[in-house]
Amino acid sequence: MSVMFCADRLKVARYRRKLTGKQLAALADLTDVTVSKVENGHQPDDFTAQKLAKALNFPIQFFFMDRPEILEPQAVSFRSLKKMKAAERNASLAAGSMGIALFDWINSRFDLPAPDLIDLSREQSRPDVAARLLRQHWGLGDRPVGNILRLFESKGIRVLSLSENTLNVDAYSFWHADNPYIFLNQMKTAERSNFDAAHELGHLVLHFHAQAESLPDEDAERQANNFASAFLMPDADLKSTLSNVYSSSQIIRAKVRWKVSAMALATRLHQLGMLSDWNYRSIIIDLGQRGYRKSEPLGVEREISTLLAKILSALWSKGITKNEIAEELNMPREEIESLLFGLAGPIRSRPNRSDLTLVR
Amino acid sequence: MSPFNTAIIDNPIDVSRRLADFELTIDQILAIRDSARAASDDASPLMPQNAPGTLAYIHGVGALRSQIIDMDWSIDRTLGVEAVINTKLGFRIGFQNVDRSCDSTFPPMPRSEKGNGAAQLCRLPLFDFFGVVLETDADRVPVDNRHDSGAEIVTYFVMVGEDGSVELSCPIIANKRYAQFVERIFIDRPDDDWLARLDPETAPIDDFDVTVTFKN
Repeated sequence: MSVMFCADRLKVARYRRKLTGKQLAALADLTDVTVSKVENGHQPDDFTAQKLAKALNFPIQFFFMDRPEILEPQAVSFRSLKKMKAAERNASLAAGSMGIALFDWINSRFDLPAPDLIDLSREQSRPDVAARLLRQHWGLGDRPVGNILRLFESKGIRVLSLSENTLNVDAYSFWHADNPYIFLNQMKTAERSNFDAAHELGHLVLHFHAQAESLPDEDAERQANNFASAFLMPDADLKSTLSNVYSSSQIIRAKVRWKVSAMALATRLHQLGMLSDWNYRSIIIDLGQRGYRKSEPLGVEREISTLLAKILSALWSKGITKNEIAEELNMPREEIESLLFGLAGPIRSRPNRSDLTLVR
Repeated sequence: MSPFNTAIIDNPIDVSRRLADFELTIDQILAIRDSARAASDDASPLMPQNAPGTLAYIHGVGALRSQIIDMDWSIDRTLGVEAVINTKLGFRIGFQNVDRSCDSTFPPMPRSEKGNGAAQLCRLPLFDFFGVVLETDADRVPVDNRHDSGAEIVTYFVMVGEDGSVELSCPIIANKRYAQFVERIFIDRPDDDWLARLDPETAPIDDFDVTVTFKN
């Protein structure tokens, strides 16, 4: 625990609350100048620090810890940046810092799967080849992936939930200290979330350590989309299981195999020349009329995180709940909740010890 | 019924010691197995049905050579059997896909019929046992295709099962299959249910292992 008030922590907390400096000053009953000074490294007196913590509804100890891991916007793959408000972007970046802190805490107590990704930046112009190479590296052959999050977690990718569950913020990903992180928007359909996850995987391996900076945004996004499409729906598997596709109901029946949306499957089939332009157009129109543009009737079940569920139940078996985690990290409990939202699944009433092996 | 028993070496310490006679290590054999399996897993459903085996054979032979060739081991293609040879030690090692290795009850069955070349290379030890002096490779093989310089070479195969089990074994081939084994060295056998793996799988794959363990 540091004895110094950390200016960066004040920023992170303010971003999490989506407040401007002015708004925070008003809430905390302080002057704008005071807040600005503190954010620029000026040590506040105890009374001011308490006012700030209370206004932000963060434990006071949060501000007296070591400097947090700060994510720079250019290090993070954000889609729809144009749609995002600055406050939303900053809130997401601050959530990234919180996610890193949470995983650092977990990592100090557990041995986790080591990252097993390969650098495919040389294949940026051929995302489909990159997808095939990664599938080869992971020994998946051409089979569909039955549980995408479990696959990711087994390969050391740290998956968390996006707290800003607004339609303006898509999933995002970044590398931090040699660990890949993906934040997923849990408000989307399970199929969209799966595609988002694969899209972010594309960013992690193609635009390694945010090499996407040098690319126009549209290019990086297109590459990640094509990667996701090829990774989730390998052409050999499509061609060996589907033939003569001409109606949207065929697509709706078939999509379950790859756990993707009907639209994504239709687009992929069109890309591979398995659907003519005319058929593709009429299927898309038909899917739109059936409500598949906005949602996913007849959808698949949402995946949950195997890793987080195991960790939480292991901690629970030792009497450690989310409250204790929040206390140890000096975070508001809802921050932990939102990072885990929809990912950890229900905690069993009786901990199942067989999930865990004790390493002596 | 054969009058002699097969020498089976199963205990890891004995296996290491026996491999040292070939100047090899367990890890080298495992690396050969891993390459073959990765290639087999990479077969696409659009490829011919024998693709997994063919790819495993091609990459298995490649890995065999890249792992073993050094000052003493060199490429050998006597009688069309793709192998490596060490004339100093008197060993030849080839690669073979089999149904399953390391099962002392059921010896490996090759996934393809064995040709004449392999059969000729894998006969000698049996007759040696009965003290019968037969022609050697030197008598049978055209002079320009001979590495053995008259010395007798014993042929072993790295045998990789469909379940990933692997052994280094010296078979005797008769009627295009393994009639008997002189020696079997069990290198590694996975504990998974190999029957489940016999059909080339196309179903979605989801048995990924996320291991989480408390730190000490």
